[in-house]
Amino acid sequence: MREEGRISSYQAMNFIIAIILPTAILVLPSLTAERAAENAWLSPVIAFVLGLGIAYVAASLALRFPDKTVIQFAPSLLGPVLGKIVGLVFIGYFFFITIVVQREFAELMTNLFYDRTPNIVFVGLLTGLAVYVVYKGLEVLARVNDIIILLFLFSILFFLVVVIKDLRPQAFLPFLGEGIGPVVFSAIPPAAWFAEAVVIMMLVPFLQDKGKAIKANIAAVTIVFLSLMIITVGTIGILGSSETATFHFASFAVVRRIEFAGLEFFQRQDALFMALWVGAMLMKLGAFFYVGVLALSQWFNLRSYRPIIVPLATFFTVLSVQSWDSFSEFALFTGQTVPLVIGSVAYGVTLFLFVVAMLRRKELDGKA
Amino acid sequence: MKSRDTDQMDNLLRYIDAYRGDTAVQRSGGSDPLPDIPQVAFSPVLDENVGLIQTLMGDNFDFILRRVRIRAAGGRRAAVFFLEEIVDTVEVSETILEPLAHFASFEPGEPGQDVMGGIVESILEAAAVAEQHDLRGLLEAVSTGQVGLLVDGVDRALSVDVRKYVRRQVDIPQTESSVRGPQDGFTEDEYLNLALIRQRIRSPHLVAESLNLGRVTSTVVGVVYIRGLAAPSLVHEVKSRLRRLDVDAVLESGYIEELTKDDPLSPFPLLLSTERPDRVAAGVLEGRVAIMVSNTPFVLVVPTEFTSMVSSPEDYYVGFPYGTIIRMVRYLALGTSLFLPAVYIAITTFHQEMLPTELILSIASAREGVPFPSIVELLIMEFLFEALREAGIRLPRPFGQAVSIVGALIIGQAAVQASLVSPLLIIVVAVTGIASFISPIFSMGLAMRFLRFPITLLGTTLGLFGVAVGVLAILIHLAGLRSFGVPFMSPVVPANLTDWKDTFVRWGMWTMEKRPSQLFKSGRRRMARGLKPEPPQERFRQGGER
Repeated sequence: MREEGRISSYQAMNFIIAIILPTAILVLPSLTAERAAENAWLSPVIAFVLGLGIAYVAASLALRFPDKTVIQFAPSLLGPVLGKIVGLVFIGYFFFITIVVQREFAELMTNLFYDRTPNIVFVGLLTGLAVYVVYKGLEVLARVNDIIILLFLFSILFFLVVVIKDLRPQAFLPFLGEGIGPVVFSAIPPAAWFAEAVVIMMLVPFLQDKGKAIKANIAAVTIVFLSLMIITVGTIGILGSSETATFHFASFAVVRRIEFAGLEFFQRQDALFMALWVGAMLMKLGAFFYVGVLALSQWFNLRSYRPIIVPLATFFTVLSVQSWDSFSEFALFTGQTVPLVIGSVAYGVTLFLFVVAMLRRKELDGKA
Repeated sequence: MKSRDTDQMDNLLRYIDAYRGDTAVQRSGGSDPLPDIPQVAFSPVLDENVGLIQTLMGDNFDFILRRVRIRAAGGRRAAVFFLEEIVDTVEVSETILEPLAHFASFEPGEPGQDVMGGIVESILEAAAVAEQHDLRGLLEAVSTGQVGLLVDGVDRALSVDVRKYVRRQVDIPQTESSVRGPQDGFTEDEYLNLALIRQRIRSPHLVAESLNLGRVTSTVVGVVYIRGLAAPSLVHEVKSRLRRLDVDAVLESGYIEELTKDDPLSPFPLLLSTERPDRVAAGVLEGRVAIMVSNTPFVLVVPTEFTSMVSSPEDYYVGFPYGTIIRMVRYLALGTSLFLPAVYIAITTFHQEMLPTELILSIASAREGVPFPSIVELLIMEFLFEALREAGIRLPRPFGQAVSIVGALIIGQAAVQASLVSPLLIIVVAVTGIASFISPIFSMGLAMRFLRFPITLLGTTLGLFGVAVGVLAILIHLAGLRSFGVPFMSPVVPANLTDWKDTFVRWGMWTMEKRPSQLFKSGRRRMARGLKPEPPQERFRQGGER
């Protein structure tokens, strides 16, 4: 059963937001603060420019082959051998992120809330839900996603409103004390995150209004940028840049501190934000898992992606628990290795495909 | 007719055809059949036929056989038979027996018309008469309350419809009463139920087709829709799903509900079942199809959405802000009935930091001396509550309410004093219980009661994360549900923002200009623009200068 579901461009936009945002607001403030300290708020801006670029490139590349996903059109562009290799690279990309997301989720839950529960419980449960939603298909995933992302974005606005009066401007000074260098260096992780928007290349065949694909992708990246700015500025403004760099999960540290004057009742409400974030993480996991499973089934030319869902899910659950021995090992991995890996695949391979498409444009248009 | 009229007529006939479909129920080797009554023709000899009928039906103690002579046919012998209690015996005397015995002659009829024709046309005064050509047809007709007539020398029989329905009076709906709005509810008589609808929708476009479902019960099932508003494909789908049911019996609309759901394993009701005629009328006016089943006051309306389960016709009668407020209270109550026990246990066990210190101290002191962990307390109290609720249904009405309330209070109080449960938990259980009655649709309330338990268990074992997992699982399940093809969560998702005026809120009646988007792709206008009322330009006063 090929995927027969269809989604609107609004749902595609929400899909891409879910792909990028949940882990971005979690770890990026800390990663950028590590490198650029008080100027870390500039790095999303720089990254945004790059992100817009790659979002545009990916979407327009995908529109050249409106009924094919990247796994299907790469061989048309690059020939059978190279095309399949590129497909495999993307499959690896999707599954790599899947496993990282699973572990990220488990680490947050065990470190911040449930310290005596083993990681596998959280990975297992979240993956179980992801399997359920992927099994039901793209449309269901998109529908659930619409609700959850809406709530998630509202909570970010809420965060802004609450945080805004307590920002300390001195946390952002000195401005560019050490030059633009560290800032540019710190823009690498956010840029890599924004580039996750290339997933649109797997979604375009299922869009009802394909003409809006580029707009949807750009809109998604913009919304992610704004949310990330809110969270980064809020976190640095409240905690200060060195504290932010220390906490791997900086935004939760801020949420923990929210209090309402007079309503003593509302202390330590971070569990509520956690519940919402669980939903958002499920969407990210579900989205990447879906895209990965679909990609793999297309790579092997399978009739349906359903039979491989559960085996792959089990495999990844185990991998996510076993691949890193400790939280610090994983945190280091997230800070150093992950941005480089996902950045190079997303930017490198996508641009490569785009260039080839440009060069062969005359040929391909003639054939089509 | 003018040529424009003939065009319109052709259009109408073609449109009607689009809705038609064979309403015969398929019988193809499904359930094991009972011994068939053969379709033998009648013999012209009256006594032979009567003997046959006596053998086949004479054992029933309500079987009545009356031999008469037809005066108008020169004293020819005939026999009238029926089952006494389902037939209006007064009608039988007045419209069948008396005319047969007293009418002196037939009216001059068609040349070549025989006795039977003469009887039908001139003598019988009953409204519905049908000819029966074989034994099975006649016996099936008599079993549904018709009167059989056999005449000597004729090889056909007549069945005359003088049914009497044993019917309850129209009364307030048991499960869905309201303050503002009509107080009539459906009864077990499908003709009466149809009448209640027809009195509300007085249009020639309202159509009520019927099928007989159930090999043995031959239950009358009505399919009601408005031609032109209901999509023909929907009507076909409903009819084909009904025709597919090859079962012995259809005793209640619940049978049909369970056997025609899009997702039989889902706890959520995918067909709306209601006792209120105004609700059914409103649904049919939106292009839905109503399924009426004889012998039950619960009528089904399809397709349906989640938002219908939380809305009541009263929302539309009480006026603008109140409908909205009440609806929001309902949503809140729905959430409470599902999540409150889970959240309570989750927070008091895993996330005590979320509560202010005084509250924690008071909870802790209240729980002093209670030997059980929270979850056991909760399960005990929930079990008691559910048991009381079920028992309350069976008790005769004078006792029922008193026992439920007093029983709950007294048992609760005693349990607290015996330190078996903590008082806060009683409050939680009571609030949850009250909130669970809030859904106007009974089946939805059942779904909530059922789902509460897994969610509570999740909350107990994994705190708020567990509750989040439960919420997400339910959300994913709901997002994939369809009711007769229409996504159950429309119009929330797939999102159609203009329709949100009638989901979480009930915005002013003048804004409800269009029919629901999930049911109509075009032709959506149902109200003129600009109907929001305003004060008039002038003031009206009697007398004064011209």
